[in-house]
Amino acid sequence: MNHQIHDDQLDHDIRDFLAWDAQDVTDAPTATEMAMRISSRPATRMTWPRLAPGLAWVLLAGLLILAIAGVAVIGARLLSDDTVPIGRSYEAVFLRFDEPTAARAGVLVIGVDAQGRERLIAHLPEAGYNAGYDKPIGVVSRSGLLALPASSNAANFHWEIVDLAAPAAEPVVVAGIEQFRESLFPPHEGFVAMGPVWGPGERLAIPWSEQVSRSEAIRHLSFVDPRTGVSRATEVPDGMSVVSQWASDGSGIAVESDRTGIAGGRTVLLPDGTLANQDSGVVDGGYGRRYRWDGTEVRIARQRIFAVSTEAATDELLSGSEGEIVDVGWTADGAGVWIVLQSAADARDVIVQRMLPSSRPETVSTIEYPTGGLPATSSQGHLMGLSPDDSMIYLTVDRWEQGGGEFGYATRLIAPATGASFDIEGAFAGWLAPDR
Amino acid sequence: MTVEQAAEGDRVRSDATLTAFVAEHYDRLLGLARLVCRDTADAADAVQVGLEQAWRRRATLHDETRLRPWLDRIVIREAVRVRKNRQSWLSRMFASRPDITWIEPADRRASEPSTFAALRAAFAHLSPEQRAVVALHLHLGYTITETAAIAGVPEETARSRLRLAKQRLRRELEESRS
Repeated sequence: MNHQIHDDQLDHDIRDFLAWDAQDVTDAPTATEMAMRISSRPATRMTWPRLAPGLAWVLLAGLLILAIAGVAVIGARLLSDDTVPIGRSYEAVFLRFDEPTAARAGVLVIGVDAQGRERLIAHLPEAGYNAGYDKPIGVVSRSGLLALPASSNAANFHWEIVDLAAPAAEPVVVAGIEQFRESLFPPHEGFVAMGPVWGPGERLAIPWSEQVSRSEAIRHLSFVDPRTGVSRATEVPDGMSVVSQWASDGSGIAVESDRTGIAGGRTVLLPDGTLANQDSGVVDGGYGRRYRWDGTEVRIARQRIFAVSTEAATDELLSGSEGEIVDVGWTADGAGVWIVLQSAADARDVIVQRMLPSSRPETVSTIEYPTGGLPATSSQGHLMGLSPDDSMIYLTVDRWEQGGGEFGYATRLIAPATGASFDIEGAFAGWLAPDR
Repeated sequence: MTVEQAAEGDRVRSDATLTAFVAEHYDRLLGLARLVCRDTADAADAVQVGLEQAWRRRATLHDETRLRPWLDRIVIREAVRVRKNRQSWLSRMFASRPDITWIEPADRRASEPSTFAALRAAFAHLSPEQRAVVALHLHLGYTITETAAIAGVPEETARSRLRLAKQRLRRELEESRS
């Protein structure tokens, strides 16, 4: 027989338990002892793991195991030509406020590897611009230049560039861009750029809007020299979106428009404001990777996946799948396709697949119930970031649950080589190259 | 009075103030950290680091009415961090003691209500972040909005963590009664 517990009764039972359990501190130091500890240790104390008396043996055994495992892994990787050498993989960069609820907070720059391990790259105590988001906004280049918003006055902000190799140095202030606080958005929505976009040779472009009246804003795209902060602005043509991918030759940035049929794989906006058909192709921006190096677009239509060339020739890559296709992006070499599905069952799991040429898709990771345990009507996973070596995928999941109609939002960092996925705190800011 | 005597007097006054500060908040913070860490030693570590931070930065707090949530925020985040460190494979490898299910003193267990065993087992299986939200909301009585602010997460995340945690606790409790 199953006993249904009323909500109030459950809360009451939990409260009673918590009150009881919180008292279970018989071995803890007293308040006086704690005060003495703090008084005698004025500086910050690192809480290292408590070490065993036989630590030397543990360390020796650990080192031996690590050495054997290391040799085995290196050997396995050397035999496999499609994996990334150890220690030479990209790092995902995440930004966190050091004091999330404070009116003024600094920014922690965190690097995460494909094993989900985190390291502090930099602490920027003066960099925390809070526009109402719970995470800092910023975009990092492969070499470690970080574009961050900074307060100009109560209403406006501008952009600054911090070199993560010298985080204590004065940031470079980007000239000529002043934006309303309310116009700061997370910089990348899939393949569409709403903030700084780094390009070849550390080129930087920043789409932004200038509020010229209460109801009218002009959309600009500024091309910025990140070493000096000098910028040159041009207007973004009406109805067009800036894509998070530069032209390979650095001449401009890809733009697209559903309305006019202009596609980001074949059209770039140049610094002088003209649109040009480019022949050199586009580079990987590290975000959605909608367009391949040669400008070919990967597109979903009627639950089938197509490659659309710059000459508008279409090639059907996949028809039919194990679930509903939600998002696609090219693999790093442009030969295969990453596919994000939602499963058909009530669970609405998010499935990430890789499809290589002339092969059926293979599942590399399945995320079950990304934001909760309730059945969902929809779990929309999006490829928000693809590392340039495909060692990691940053995924966001929008999820609507059945019944209450609640909306959930989750993010995951996925390592396709192992299928592991990690819930990383903070806002995704891009990828750092291993040899920067 | 010499300079040394004046400095010694300042130190003694400062120590007395620190002791009073710790005494006022220690029990609450230790209980809170204990709920998140599930281990008294880890909880004490978290409280110590939290109180050290708070004591050093107390001059930055201009509104005394915010002292309690401010302290709770520092300690709860430290507790989550300590707990997650303890769960890492490296920490487990180098820990002096393996994860042991401690047997409670007989007198405490004997007086424990029957539902607590099920709740304790379920509570231990929650993530540290879920335990933090449950502790802040149901133990310390913060609203969901306040809980989210203290935990440093969006309100919807706090709600989601609380809902999932209660779902699990409910399941264990109902199974224990069936």
